[in-house]
Amino acid sequence: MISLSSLRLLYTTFCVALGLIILTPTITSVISFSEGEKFSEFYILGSTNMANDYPFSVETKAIYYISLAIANHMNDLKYYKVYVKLGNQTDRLPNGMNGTPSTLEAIFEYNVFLDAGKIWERRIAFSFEEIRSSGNSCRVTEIMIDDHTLNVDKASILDQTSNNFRYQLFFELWLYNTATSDFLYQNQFTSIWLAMKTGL
Amino acid sequence: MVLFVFLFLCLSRCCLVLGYSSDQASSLIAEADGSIRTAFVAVAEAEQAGANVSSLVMRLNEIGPVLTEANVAFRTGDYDNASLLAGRCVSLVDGVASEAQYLKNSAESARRNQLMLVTSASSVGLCVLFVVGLFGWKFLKWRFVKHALGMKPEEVTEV
Repeated sequence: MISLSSLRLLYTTFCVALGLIILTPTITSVISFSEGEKFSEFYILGSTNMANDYPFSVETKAIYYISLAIANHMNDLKYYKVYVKLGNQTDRLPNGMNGTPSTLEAIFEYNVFLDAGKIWERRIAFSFEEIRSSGNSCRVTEIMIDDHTLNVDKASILDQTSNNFRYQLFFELWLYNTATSDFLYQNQFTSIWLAMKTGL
Repeated sequence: MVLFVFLFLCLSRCCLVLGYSSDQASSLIAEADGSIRTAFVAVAEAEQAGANVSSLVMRLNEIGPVLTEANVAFRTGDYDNASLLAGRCVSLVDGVASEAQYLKNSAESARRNQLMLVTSASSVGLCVLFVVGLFGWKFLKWRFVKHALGMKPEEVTEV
């Protein structure tokens, strides 16, 4: 048979456990627990909204589609800026090792306000409106993104093996930092290679 | 004469509306950008306070493309359109920060009330547990002793 002291210990344990259960709502209201890893997803999908069918071989005036997406896993509301840049085969991409963005000037931008746990997805239509080519070089002077005609000036040299001009359309993810009151590059970018046909 | 005055007014109005310089457009875009940032900070603070800011986020997402268009117009050298769009941004963002501040205050007040309610309920619960615990222990002890006494062997009386 159980002794009186053991019964007292058992009863006290039961009461303390019950007390903790009663205190749980107060404890959870006051103490904030770890929120897990904070990160942003940033990716491009192809014309069929899947991770394939990305435009590659492009022609003047033809419209191409891709989907750009950002997923906010930062646990609070964020203000993202996506800079769209156009590079050729020799332009330097953002440096992943140093976390520095490309020095190229942005041709377009997206301002996105995204709640925690939400995904922003946008179907982007782009076309090369004006291309000037002479000999082994070609120059894109006008590109259209989402019905906005943008003046660019990007030259490329003919790639001898594929007989086309290579361009790279890339997107950099920047995040507004409330502490510094400025946008900071997130060391995240995504890009697609484009092979330009000029009818040479 | 009337026609002349009318034409003069129209032309002067056109001159007022159009003819923004690069610096003016740039400063208007910077103002619009600053207003959006301020509004975002206010909305983010309201969200952290526990307010439902989904409608404000929707409004900000409607303003974002307008700022993009203003920047595009500026890059293409269309300073008039860039200025007009920047002005539109400022007018669209107007009121967002104040509404966010109101929501933040409401959320903080609701949070304080909830915390007070939870703390009070917990305190009452603990008091009840303490009193019931004491009486419960006395009852349990009485039952234990009674049960223990019931198990005690009866005294045999000699005749």
